[in-house]
Amino acid sequence: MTAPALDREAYRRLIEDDRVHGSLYTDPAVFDDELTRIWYRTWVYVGHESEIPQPGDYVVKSIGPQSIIMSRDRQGAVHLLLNRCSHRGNQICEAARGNTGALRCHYHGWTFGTDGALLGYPFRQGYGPDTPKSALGLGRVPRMGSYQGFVFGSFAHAGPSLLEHLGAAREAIDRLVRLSPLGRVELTAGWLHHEVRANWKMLVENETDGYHPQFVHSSIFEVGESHVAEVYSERSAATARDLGGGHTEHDLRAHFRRMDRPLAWFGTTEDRLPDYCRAMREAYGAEKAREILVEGSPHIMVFPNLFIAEIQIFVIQPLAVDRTVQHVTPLQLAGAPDMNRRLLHQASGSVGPAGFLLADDSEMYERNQRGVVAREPEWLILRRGLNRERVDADGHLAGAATDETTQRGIWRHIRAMLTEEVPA
Amino acid sequence: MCGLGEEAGAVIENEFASVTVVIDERGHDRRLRVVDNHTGRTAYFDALLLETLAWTPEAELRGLLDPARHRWTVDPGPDGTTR
Ligand code: FES
Ligand SMILES: [Fe+2]
Repeated sequence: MTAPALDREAYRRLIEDDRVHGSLYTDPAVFDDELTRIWYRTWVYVGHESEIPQPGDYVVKSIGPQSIIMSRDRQGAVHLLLNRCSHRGNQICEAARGNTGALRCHYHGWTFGTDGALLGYPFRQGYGPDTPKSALGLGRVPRMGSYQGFVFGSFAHAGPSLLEHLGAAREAIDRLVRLSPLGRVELTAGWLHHEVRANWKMLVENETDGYHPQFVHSSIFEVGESHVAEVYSERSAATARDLGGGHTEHDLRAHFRRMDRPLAWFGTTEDRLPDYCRAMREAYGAEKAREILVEGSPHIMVFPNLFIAEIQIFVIQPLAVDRTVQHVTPLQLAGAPDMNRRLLHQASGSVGPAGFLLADDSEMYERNQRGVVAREPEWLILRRGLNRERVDADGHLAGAATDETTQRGIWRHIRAMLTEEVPA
Repeated sequence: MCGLGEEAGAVIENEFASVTVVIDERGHDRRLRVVDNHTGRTAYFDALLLETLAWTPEAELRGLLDPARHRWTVDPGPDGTTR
């Protein structure tokens, strides 16, 4: 059942510059509009090329509620196919990943290439010669693009290119891959899937919310060394930045430059990772390697669903107005086995089943969803830092680490998309 | 008596098919025995056949994957048999 769409004027009323209406998180009609005007239109992150290294490899991913097969055919080309048989709609792939040269539907045996082409169906006498086999392939995501191995899909047949969509977020992705001595990340350590009873925008807004860590994550500060407490304090030199296009970041570089210690961002020192540091110096030269290791990893929310969280990657998948899955995997760097072991270890401590970080955030998402259904007051307040917001050298709005510059930026873009003032 | 590798049948499977592959040494030369684990259907592939497969162009392989090409060719009879 589809709820009636809201008109543009309604969204101009519900999304103001410094406050948003609570119904945007709870109204199924809004969710349906978001699917058609955002998720099935703009570039959405699907998967990473490193997840399908071999010809014949495939993984099952998603664009919102749509199940997507990301496959590498026998010639090596990557495809984004809809996980639905073109005969009578059965789901083609059930496994999360596999290797095959063809896909055979379990229902009546229609068989497809990993490029989506229909290879044939059993008992062809039941179909006349006019059955257009070539038009009966699997559905495809109309546009696909890849940046630094990150594969995105768009259901819009035309619109801005992937690079135009990424805009200033590109530079942050570049900063991520340069942490590898080979300049490549690999998302091969496996995925955890956390489902929450909350609206997807609560997650997107929280990923670059620097106001909550002092409260929600205080337990993490009490165990072991962590930079988080200091980065997200009023003394922090970090910046909350609206990169445009709905992309937001916490730029922590100024904070770590002030500390001027390689790997401080990772809570460790060079002598603990001698092989990694040596490989970095060999790859980039001593000076550049030191700069990279001091500045650390980006913290950026690529709209609408890719969160690069310094040491792990999150993918946000909305399923319903109050149901969202967060897929998470540890960052792995090509050519850095000792670093990768630590990355894996840290990820299980923060986002694993017994981890501190994600469990605390998830609790907040669900409480937020339960709270926001209240009839009074109707609005959520996003004013923090308006009094000290500035435009930085690159022309982006920037605020202090705990400011809501980022949430305002996300909503500005959502409003533009829902009122269809911007191309996808 | 089986030669080296005879017992070491390997299951090769994905979510669409499952076969057991054994190096068979009962003939005068080694060959592969392939058993469809769902039906028990067995086929042998000698060196020349395998070499031929390795040289088969992609388009021909795709043709072989058409389920109506050799396997589900005619509509099932009243008793459910397909041949
Ligand atoms: S639904 Fe796939 S073969 Fe019928
Ligand atoms: Fe049945």
